[in-house]
Amino acid sequence: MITSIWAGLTTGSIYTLIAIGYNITLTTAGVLNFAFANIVMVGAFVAVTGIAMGLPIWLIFIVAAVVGALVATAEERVAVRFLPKGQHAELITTIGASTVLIGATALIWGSTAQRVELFPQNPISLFGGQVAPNGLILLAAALIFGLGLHLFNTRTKYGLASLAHAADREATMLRGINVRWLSIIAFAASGAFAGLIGPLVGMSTTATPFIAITLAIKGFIALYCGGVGSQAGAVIGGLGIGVIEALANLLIGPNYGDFAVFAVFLAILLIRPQGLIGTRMLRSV
Amino acid sequence: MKRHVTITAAVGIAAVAALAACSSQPAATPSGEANGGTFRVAMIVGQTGPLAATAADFQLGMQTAADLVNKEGGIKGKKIVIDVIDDKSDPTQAVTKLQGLINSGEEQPDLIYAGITSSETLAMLPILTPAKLLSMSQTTNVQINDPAQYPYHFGISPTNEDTLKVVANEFKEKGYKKIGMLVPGDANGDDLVKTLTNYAKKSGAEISGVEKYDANGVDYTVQYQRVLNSKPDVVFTDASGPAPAGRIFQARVTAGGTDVPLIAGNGIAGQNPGKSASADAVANCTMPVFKFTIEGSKVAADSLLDPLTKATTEKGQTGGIFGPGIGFDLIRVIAKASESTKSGTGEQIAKAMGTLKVPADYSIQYPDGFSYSAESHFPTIKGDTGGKELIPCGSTVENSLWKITE
Repeated sequence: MITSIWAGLTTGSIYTLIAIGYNITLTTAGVLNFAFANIVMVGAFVAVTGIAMGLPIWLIFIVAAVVGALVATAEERVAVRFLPKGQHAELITTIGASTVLIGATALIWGSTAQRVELFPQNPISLFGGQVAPNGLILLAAALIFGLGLHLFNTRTKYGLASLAHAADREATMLRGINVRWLSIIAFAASGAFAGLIGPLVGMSTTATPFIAITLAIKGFIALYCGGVGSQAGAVIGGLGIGVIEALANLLIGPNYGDFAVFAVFLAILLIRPQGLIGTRMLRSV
Repeated sequence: MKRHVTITAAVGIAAVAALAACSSQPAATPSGEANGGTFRVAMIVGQTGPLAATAADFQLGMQTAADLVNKEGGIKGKKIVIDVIDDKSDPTQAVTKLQGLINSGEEQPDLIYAGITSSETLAMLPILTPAKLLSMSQTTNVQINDPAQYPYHFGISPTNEDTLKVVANEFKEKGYKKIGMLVPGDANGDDLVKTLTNYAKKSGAEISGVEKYDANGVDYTVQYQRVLNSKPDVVFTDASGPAPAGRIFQARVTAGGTDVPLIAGNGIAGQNPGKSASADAVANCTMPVFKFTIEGSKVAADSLLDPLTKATTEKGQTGGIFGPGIGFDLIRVIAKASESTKSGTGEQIAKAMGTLKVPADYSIQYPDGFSYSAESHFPTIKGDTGGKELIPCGSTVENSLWKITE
């Protein structure tokens, strides 16, 4: 049971990190970037190359973050920048970017899954269960980034400016804030974040272009369960659905995990559409 | 000036009309008696998606064999041409693409490669049969091997029954009494459970627990733990694609299952698991591989093995020559069957295949030869190991052949 909970927290941490990535562009540029999970996988593949080249771990993370930032910035320029505002066309174009990234990663690194082993994965016994060291690192990363970005968004000038831009682009522009740069910085930051967590996620899932769609969907559910725009909500949503999925698989049967996750998702949408700790937005019609 | 422009425009329109008329003709892909020189093969497979590497392996083997057959004159004088149609390994897309091909108005292919997964093949067969299209695939679900219902379809891989012979021998030899299973939640997984249950009964063993996993799952620790909870003497697992294989091995470590011996199936064996799993994860694990894929086995003739090994190594296919070997045999079997036909049409070859006896040293997978019959359109092979041998999962592929590592 405890090992299953650890497994749930590990996968839940991955969903949390994806949801955090969605929130970075959503709260800053007002764009839900469906290609985020693909950039995470780019980071994982960069790690594969880095390991093969014998690079030190710290350098692998830096290179993965830089590559992730470049990819996300390119995506912003090509798939988001020139779209008409307010029509949510980016929901389609970022899915397109995701498809392009699947093809590009398969072309560059091949479609075969590849092992990412930055350090040994001998399981640790903890509270009566077993967990891989990387699972604990992912959990720590989810908590630190979730809490850190929550504080950043609510306590810093840049964070507040970003929230203002996402809420009302025109009003933000009238205040003299360069919203174009804000959007580029948001995408670059989310790309760097994706690149940074990519090697860790790849250690759990292997580096494969095709896992991104699963991560994207589960990350999206975590985002909505926790509350869109809330980084603390992403942590609660991600870890929650990870544990629910694992326990359903253990106690009800294999493959019931997805049913349980979608049942909880539907229940939250019906009972509390703004998510567990999201805020209800008023929209004039 | 105005008149000059008018004439130029008229000439331009005429040229465009002529080009359009040319392009509206069916592509030069004739079939049967009308075939002017090509034997067209359409591979409907997941060219993209999780099984893209597997599809690339089969395509490579088929193309290597096609080049050899073409050099020797082709199929009754017709050069083999292979087209790949991407269905993303999705049965729904496979059906759509096949219907598009059949209803395109063009001449139909001589041979369809009907999917990488049993689900794709089973979805396409009800469309292929009324169209009387010869089809082949490496898929092995027992429902596919139904000559009465699907007279134009033939398998090229051993069935799970043949593949698992060597696994069943191991159960007997090691005295395993309780077998845990972790298999994909698809048609192949169902067939693996059925086949291994039969073998277990015959050897006085029992299946202690069966867990099926979703191929798109992120983590299989819980599923592996459930298998271990049934206290098996040995765990059997398999995968339909490379990504699940890596996650199964990772789950084995996290769930603390490395002390329980693991036998990985055909799907994992074909993919060089050492590439997607750590040394700890593949320890105490064996997997069945074709003897011809083992370095120094010398079970296949060099004249067959060398071009395949060279092509596979040049392409950098990480799983070795197992996948390419299947595609290679498929084309050569078609060539063999065509020898007794009048003009090498798909329908004639299908008829000849029904009684085909492939001689020894012709097939790379089955060097002792094999046959098809009216009762079975899957290869009936000689011997009690299905041409396979169990090797450690940590073995490595070097120059496209398995180098056994203890």
